[in-house]
Amino acid sequence: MQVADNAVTAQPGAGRASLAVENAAMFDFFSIPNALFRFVPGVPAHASFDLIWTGPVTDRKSISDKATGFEGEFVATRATMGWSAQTDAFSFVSDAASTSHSVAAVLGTERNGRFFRGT
Amino acid sequence: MGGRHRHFWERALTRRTFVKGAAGLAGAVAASDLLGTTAALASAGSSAPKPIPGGFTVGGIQFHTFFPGFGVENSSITDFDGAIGFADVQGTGTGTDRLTGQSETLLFDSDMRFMRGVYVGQDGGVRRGTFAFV
Repeated sequence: MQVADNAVTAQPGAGRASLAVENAAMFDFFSIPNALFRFVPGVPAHASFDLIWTGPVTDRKSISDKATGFEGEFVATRATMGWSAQTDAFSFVSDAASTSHSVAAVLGTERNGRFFRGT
Repeated sequence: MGGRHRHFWERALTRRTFVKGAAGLAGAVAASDLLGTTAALASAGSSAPKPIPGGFTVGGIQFHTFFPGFGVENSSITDFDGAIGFADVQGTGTGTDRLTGQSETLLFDSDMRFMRGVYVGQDGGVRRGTFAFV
């Protein structure tokens, strides 16, 4: 979904960024299989996210993948997130972002499609 | 696939109790963007971005995104030049049945991404924009 430009801050090389979205309209499809295959319709929902890529940078890579047609410079880093969501029937509020666990996080600058140079 | 993170979708699709439970909302809304973006493509005159041509296939249906990771294509839009971010974050929280007031501690696992920069829209126009994959 498109968000305001100021919803994102990014310093990819430093492993830091943020994504803050408030009360975004979307749909709750109840489960991942249903979200993919739409066995039953979703219901209107709103969600807010505060996602922060905190650093530190733990790895760096330059990629040029001709098969997929993307290239760029990427760093592995860490992230935390607090979020909430609500439908007419259900609400969820995460615990503080500081309690969340970063499984994997990546930042980078990328070119793909028409912008892929292949060098 | 070097550096490919085994996405929670892959784990969740084989763990029914996990899918039925806590991460339902996060997982559900995470996937909703895939079909929404595809549906937006129907309008050739739209300024919406175009999805990447590849992606993963489940049940014979292609979804225009790859399972994310370090060193793989994390963007869900093509003809794009800019900053990109991906995060898989797990945690806990409180789910509440708004009709009964009953609440319980739930787990979540997320796939969150952003793409911010220049892109070529479906109408061929070159624009700047910021997109979230949630």
